[in-house]
Amino acid sequence: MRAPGKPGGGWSWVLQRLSAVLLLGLVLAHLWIEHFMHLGRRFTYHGVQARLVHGIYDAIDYALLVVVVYHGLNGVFQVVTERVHNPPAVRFLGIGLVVVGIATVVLGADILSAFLAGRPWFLL
Amino acid sequence: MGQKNYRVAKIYRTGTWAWLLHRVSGLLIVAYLYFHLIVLSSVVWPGGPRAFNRVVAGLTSPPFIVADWALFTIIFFHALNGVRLLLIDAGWLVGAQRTVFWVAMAVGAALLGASVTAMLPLAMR
Amino acid sequence: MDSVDLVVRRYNPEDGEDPYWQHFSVPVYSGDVVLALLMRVREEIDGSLAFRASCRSGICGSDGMVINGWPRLACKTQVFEMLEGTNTIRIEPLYNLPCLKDLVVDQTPFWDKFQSVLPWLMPDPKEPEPEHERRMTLDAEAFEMLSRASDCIFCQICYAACPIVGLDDEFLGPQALIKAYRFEADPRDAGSAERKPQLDNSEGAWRCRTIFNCTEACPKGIPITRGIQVLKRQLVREGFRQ
Repeated sequence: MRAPGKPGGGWSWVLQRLSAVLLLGLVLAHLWIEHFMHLGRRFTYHGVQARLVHGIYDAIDYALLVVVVYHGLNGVFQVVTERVHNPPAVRFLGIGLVVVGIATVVLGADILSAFLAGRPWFLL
Repeated sequence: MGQKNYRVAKIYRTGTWAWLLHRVSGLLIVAYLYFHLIVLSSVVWPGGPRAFNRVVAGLTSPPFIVADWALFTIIFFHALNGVRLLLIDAGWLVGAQRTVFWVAMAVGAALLGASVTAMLPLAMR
Repeated sequence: MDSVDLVVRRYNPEDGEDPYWQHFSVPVYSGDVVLALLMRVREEIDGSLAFRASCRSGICGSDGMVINGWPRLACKTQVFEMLEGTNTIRIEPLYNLPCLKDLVVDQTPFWDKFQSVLPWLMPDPKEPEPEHERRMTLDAEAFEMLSRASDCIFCQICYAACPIVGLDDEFLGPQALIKAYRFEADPRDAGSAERKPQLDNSEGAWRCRTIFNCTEACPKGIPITRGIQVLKRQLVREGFRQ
């Protein structure tokens, strides 16, 4: 009889939808706070810094960073594995995307810290 | 696959277009995420705040405002078709998915219209 | 008497040639279905044209084919509805399945996937044989879904309409999933645990992207996508319970 594919997939399905719901709010908030609220005024480092003094704003940006990276990279994984079924290749892709995802979150957090703390936490 | 006697379904109806555009827009948004982070990283990389201000000044110039509209089109499409997909996954309005698609697109067009109107003065500088 | 330009995709594996389009000018009478034209071609013009057909009344599910770019049952498709101001009807074998000859496809992948979901009623072996007549109840909506899912005639039209099957030939496909749903929704069935590995995997229920081509193409009007969605939610609920 026909062999089934890689077992499981329910968690990834649920989390993709859960992150989608979160993103609806987070992306809207991010666009509003960072781009529309101060529309027309000169966009500067100090302007961003002043905005991020509000704890809720940087909480939104950190949350957005983590959730968008998960949702986006899981999406990429789903698209690629529609065509690629070879187990070692799928494993390599999965691990690769996790590494890329962690690196992206570290870079994003570093950038945010440069605004918040006045200088980056990790890099340079 | 690839045999001359095997042809795959390439049938485009509302649901197929929604799926295809959702996928393309999603991949474009991932690409944009990295562009966005690279631009912002000018603040940590060589220059610090001064370099950041220079980069951002370039990105708020009229051509980039127009590029922002393209970005909004992609994001609003993905978000609103995403809402439709969430409804389908929850089992709501499954039979009306085509209507829901066009309603979602109308909401997206309204949001895009509002954003463009708000940003119009910036593009006309 | 009018005639129709029937454009048929011909393929014969034995002559070593690539598939090609052949035109037939076929007389048409009012009320004709597309299958009638194909039979007329075979009987009066070219006896070598191969296609499957049997009951001619939309029950046996043999004559699924792609008519004007959309998979349909030839016996349920009115000629005049396909003309739309033109005089041409294009006929191809079903997509997503290898063509054996002309309009006949190799159904093996379809049947393998169908069988893999254990599409039969599995009663609970621990349950004692009932001594009296026993009734199992379902709410009206669930019964309606179960009843419609049971209408499947195995015509493979949903399978041929699914772009994901086209992209990923290991995907179970809509028919196997709606059949799994049919037994999962049945209150007499206790086979969920056995069926789960066949559904809860990367090429099972999760691969469905809710494109709705299957639902729109099904000649029996089965809400296939809706049933697959119920399966997904059921798998999630079971996952949480464990």
